[in-house]
Amino acid sequence: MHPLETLLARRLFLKGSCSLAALALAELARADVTIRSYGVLKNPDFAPQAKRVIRIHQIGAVSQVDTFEYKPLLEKMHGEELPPSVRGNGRLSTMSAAQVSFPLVKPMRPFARHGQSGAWVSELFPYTAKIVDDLCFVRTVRTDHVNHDPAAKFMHTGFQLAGRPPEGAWVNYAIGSENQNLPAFVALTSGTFSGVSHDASNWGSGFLPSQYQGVPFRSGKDPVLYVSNPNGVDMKDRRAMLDAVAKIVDAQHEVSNDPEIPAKISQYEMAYRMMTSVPEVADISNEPESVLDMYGPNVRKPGTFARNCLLARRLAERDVRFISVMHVGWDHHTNILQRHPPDCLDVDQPSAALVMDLKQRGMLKDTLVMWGSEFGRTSFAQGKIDINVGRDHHGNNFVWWLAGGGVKAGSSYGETDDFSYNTVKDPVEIHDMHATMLRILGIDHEKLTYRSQGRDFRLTDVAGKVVTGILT
Amino acid sequence: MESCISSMSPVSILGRDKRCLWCGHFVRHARHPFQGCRLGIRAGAWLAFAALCAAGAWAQTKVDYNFDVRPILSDNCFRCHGPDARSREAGLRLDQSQSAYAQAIAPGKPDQSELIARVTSSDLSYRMPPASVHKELSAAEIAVLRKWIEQGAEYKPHWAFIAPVKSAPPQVTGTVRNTIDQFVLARLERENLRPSKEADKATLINRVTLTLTGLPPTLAEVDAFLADNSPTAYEKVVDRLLASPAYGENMAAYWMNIARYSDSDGFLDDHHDRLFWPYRDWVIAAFNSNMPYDRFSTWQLAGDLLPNATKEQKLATAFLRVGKRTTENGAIDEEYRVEYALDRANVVGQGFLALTTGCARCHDHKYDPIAQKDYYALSGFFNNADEPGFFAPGFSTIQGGPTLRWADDATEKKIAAAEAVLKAAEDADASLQKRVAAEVPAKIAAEAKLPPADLVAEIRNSVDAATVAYYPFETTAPIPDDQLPKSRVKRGEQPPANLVTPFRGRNGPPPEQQAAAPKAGGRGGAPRMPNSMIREKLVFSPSGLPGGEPAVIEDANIHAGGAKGNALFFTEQNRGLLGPSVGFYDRTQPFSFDLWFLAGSEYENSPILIHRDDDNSGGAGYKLSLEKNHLSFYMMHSWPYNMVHVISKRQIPVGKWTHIAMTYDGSSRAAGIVLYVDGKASDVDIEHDQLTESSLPRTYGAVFNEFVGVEFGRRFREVTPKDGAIDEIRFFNRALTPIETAFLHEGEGVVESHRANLAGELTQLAVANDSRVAESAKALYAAREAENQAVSWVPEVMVMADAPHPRQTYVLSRGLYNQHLDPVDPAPLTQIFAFDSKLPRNRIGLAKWLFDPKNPLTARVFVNRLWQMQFGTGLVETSEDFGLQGSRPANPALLDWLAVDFVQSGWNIKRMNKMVVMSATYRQSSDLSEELLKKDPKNEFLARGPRLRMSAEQVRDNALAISGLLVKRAGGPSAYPYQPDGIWVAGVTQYRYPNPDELSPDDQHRRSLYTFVKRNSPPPSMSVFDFSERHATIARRLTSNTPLQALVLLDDPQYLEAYRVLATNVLKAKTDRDDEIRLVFRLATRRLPTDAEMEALRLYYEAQAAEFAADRKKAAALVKVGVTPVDDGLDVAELAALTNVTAAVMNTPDAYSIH
Repeated sequence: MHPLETLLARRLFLKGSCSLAALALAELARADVTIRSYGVLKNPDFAPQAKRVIRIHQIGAVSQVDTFEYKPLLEKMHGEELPPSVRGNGRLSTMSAAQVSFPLVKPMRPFARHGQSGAWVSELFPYTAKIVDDLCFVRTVRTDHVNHDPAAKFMHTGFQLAGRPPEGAWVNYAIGSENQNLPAFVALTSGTFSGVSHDASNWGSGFLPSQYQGVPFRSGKDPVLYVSNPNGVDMKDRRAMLDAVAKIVDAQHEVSNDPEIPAKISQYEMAYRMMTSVPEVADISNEPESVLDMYGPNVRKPGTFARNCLLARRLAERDVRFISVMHVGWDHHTNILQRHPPDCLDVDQPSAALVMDLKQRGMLKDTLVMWGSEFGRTSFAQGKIDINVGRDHHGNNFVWWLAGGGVKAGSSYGETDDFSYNTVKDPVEIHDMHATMLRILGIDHEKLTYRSQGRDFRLTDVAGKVVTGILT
Repeated sequence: MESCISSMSPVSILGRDKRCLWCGHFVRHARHPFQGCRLGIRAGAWLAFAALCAAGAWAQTKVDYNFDVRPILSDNCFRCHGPDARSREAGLRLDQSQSAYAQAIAPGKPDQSELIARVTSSDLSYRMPPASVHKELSAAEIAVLRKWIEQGAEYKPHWAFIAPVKSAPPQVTGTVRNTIDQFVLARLERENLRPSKEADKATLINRVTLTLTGLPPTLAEVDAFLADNSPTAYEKVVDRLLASPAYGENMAAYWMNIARYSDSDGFLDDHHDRLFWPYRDWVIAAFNSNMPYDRFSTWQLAGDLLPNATKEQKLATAFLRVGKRTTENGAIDEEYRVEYALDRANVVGQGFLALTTGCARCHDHKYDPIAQKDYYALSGFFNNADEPGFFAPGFSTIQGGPTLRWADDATEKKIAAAEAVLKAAEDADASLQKRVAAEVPAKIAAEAKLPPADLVAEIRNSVDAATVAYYPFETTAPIPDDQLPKSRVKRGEQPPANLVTPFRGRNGPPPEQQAAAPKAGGRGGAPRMPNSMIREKLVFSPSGLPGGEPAVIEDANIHAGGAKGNALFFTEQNRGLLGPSVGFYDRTQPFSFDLWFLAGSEYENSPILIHRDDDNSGGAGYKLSLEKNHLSFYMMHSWPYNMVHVISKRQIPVGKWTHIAMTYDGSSRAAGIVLYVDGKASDVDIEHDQLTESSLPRTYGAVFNEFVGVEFGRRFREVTPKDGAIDEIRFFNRALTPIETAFLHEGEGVVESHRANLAGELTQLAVANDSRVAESAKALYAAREAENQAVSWVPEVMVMADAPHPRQTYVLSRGLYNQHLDPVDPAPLTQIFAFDSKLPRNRIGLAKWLFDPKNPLTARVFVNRLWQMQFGTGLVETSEDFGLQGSRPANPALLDWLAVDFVQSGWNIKRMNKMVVMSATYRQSSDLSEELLKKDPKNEFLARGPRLRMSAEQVRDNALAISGLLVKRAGGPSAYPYQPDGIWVAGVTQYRYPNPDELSPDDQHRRSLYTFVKRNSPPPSMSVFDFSERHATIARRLTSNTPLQALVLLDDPQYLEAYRVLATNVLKAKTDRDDEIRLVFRLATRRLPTDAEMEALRLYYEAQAAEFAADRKKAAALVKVGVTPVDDGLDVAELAALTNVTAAVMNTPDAYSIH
């Protein structure tokens, strides 16, 4: 503890201050020791199976039938109609709602079985194919939404309109961080404009107080906004200024007794620590070549998905609680033949490298990695089949893979029909995924609530059940 | 965020939830047992209980249902035993005495009451609430319930739903400056607390200037006040502040939270193609002119419906449309149209009534008397908006739905002049036509006797002369490579600069992303074939006119069986377009077309001819389609508000070639359109009759599918008229007369079949061909076009207007847009306050209901928010929820007195603000004593003055103001202050944030109220200070404390620049270091430093000065931050040192809080 913090703390202690001051004191007192939780949940509801989450969102919607969901019938029936009985009366986006014909489209590239588990993977994902025995493929994730904006918000916050806290903010609120030098919830973004986007509500705090919001890590000079000292100021100067500030603040507290004042000083001290810890985590110069090679050539370019995967590992190593990695692409309504492979190339190797890297460091067992999109894509063509063929949005069933703490490695969950159009067995709602994620962290999703506007809200709203079938 | 369940996701399936052990009820929500009040917002029964005990009169005290009992029942029991009929268990309601007495409560006899037995039972299967809901009553809560039953279990309506009354202010001892103090002192007496002493004068003027205007006082203002020893010194300050323009800005900054104001759309694309700052400026002006709250609100809710609504009144209704708007390709129109109507119901509920109305979207409200049908009835006031759900302007700059022209005076004058000329030209043309028609009867009479063949020749000649295009679809021909159709879009063409939000990524993504952007087959580059047509499948179908442009057809399916010879038969795939110059008509130009069509079935909605931009690109143009085989023709500027649209009463038959013609007279009126079926004009239903701006497709507007001219067949988003066929398309350059369209249908027989009306129809033909009429038409066209050009390129604000035909509102099952249950008429929340049946069932009626002096909520809610602005916390802490789950006022009599007084004063906002800040209560010192920290940490009883952190806007404005950087210019387009690079790009948006060097320095230093608000990427340095998200109405911001705030105040260039400029000013004014420190300190906090502060700063200043003197390069680097030039006349080391001293002072809480 810095001497001035100690000074303030002692004064508060001697005065026997109110609960808020006492709380600030307690926080100060803990700053030097490792603590288990800085959130509202002092004791876990269940034995935690993972300490942290890396959540990878492929925004734009990966085509499940071209990647991890092998449907040989599509090869045979290429160009034939999706049977109307299969399609039923489900919602379609207005981009294909006007179609009268729904011709099936075969997978773009051949699939093969891999690993002990024999998982089918498209040859578009050669690196992921190598780690299938560490993965749990959930084939029946579903959403009611047919448009990116509501579906993406639903995936992050459990609700389709902006305003509710995302998963990371809930987790931060519940169990905080074990690292008091870095934010508990970090957001990393990459991708190129292709018609879809993501926005701050995916890493905001919704109705939770803003201290629970995610902090975006950016490429460039300031990995966290304003974390760099301005030109002409070094850490020694900064220390000197904060010491001066603390002395003045001490005097102000003397007069007003405002319990917020010491709390503020502790935030300044954390800001000071972040000025060192953030550049340190963003600086990959000490990573061995072998590790960089694992993530592929793009890892050397800041702001790429590959770099973000490496940063996710570095953040995880430092016990950042929730790391949200968002990558934009995939929205292949047309030209999927041309546009899908580059996106696959972009994400395959780094995603696999992240899992392998965590594993080789012994961190995979207490890290939960979740990988997937806000929905999938149709097995039929949007429009007609020609060189420009594309696939429309498909929410009925799509594939996520999970890896790490608490989930069954080398497994598959849920079954869909031969057209990857409807779920046959074990549908998994987004709320179920959230419930499961919280369970793995030791949190009962029904108990984790926050009151806003007179109502006790949950990440899982009024639904959600733990998908026990994927848990170890 | 208010609604529990989506329009898009079904309500939880009951079986999924846990069953209550006792009643079999399915449990939906739970509160975490360890959620303390530190984070929650519940004042709760604890306080009430503590208060009872503290009073030491537990035995005698009457337990109050509203304040003591209901919070316990509401929080723990009402979910299953409350207002929501569908989730009610065992038929028991604990929110109503009748049911409770019958089943669970024996008044006066707690031991015989099932309620007490249940909550105290140790048998877990019997105990309430059941374990599965994770709730447990405390001993204190049980004691309250027991006591209440013992005293008779008296029920009362919820306090906030009973109209407030002015009670007599209590007699008290102590400093009373106005009535507020009497109520406060009485409350303090009950708590055994004493008020704090009055704050010193420097603190007072600082506080009141900040809470009223959001800006700090200048030192001159402070000094003047310190020197003014008159008894009215303080009041003079207050009056000056209330009269200053900054007051309205500060009030508006708060109202923006209610209005969910934003400069961008939100949702996926988050486009900036909207103009709402005029509305923001109206709000500022309204507060500054002290517009009464009822008028202020009525204009925003219903200004357009007021008699002879003014421009200002219409502008105010932008309040209703400044919410989110989707432009996501694929969004279902009705789904979002409903979403907008519900958003407004939520805004009214939250913004004016402090009710969580959105909770009743899927089911009856769980706590408050708002049935699901009440919620939809409320939304009914907004369900008739003449607006689209999905509307994407692309680059067209066109706005969807009702708009208000936002022109400067010069433009308005120009428009008025053009309108006058047009009116004169129309009158002249009409009278000329009449005159010509009167001249011709003799000639007509002679003509009518001519042989039919001569008449036919005359008609044919007339038609031929008007024909500009003809497509018989007889043959096809291969397309040479050099004649392949090109996309019509000229890439890089810019819309008019005054209509464009700057910084849209017209130059594409930033360079590093451009490299990675897909090129092959993608957008940009050389002109390409329109709409991704496939070259191998394209053929020409030649024009029937010599030298005419051929039609281009993909998957041509031309064969025999046409109306005449061959025809084009539609499959699901084929499509085509006419010659590029065919049919390119604006609303000002008369034109006609005819064609033969064979309907293969009854089409729900299928296009025949389309000449418009894509839905992603504004959509301007015209279209003929079949709706259940009725002819539907529209010509529009924007859908659905600015268009003419008619639908024929006649249907066209299935399986039979039918002749269809459309004639249009260039008048922009529905009456100017005639639809002919087999030669006869059909009666029509007029859907819309308001076309006031250009209906030409905007060729630079394309986003996905370029405008390519007249199209038919398969088209994105449209249902192909499968199994139909089209033949013999002609276009004409004027409105054909009836005899001509009849001729086109039946040919030579027309003279005989039209004998009865021949004279009249020949007259029309003669008039149409008269050379004077043709000349007049030219003049009329010129006048129309001049008016068209004057009005069509003016920026527009989206405002509110109702559709011409009322739309029925329905209760929506599970909140889903297309799951209609019972129809409901518009009505406000009648279970809370009755709706006078004499009031109109429109938004005017809603406003009158809200501002009925007896409405229990409106005045209370607003007065409470004014209090919140001055004190940081409202008298009711949950200023967003006055319902049963909200917190209760610690001083209800004060709140009610203020509310009634506010109404009686004519909803006078400035007067109320003045009363609050004039009170002795407000003027108390805000320092906390040990006693206060212990007994009233949240200052509910008001034994001290306000103490709050500045709002996000105030933190920044304060720094700008004290450094002298603040640009006080009011209003105008939003500003783009410093923002680190790449923040918008990180969201992968189509907009880039401008660099400071692209803007005037002014832009960096405007008040934060004017900062551009991008919904999906809020201003980062304000976000960390709890700036409100603008997705929905927010009545109250939480105050958080994070290290990110420290980083902003330490390192954000905005602040570094302000520190340096402040230091510059001080160095120029003072020469002695101590004086410099004192001045910096005063500028930052409006007080002098204490000895301890002075000592710390003196040491720091000296150390810094030495540091920078030794390293002047470092000093130069530090002071260079910002767009303001460095003052070369100053010693850079001194400046750098004092800059850091300033930074140190500004980073102490006294400099960014109000106290």
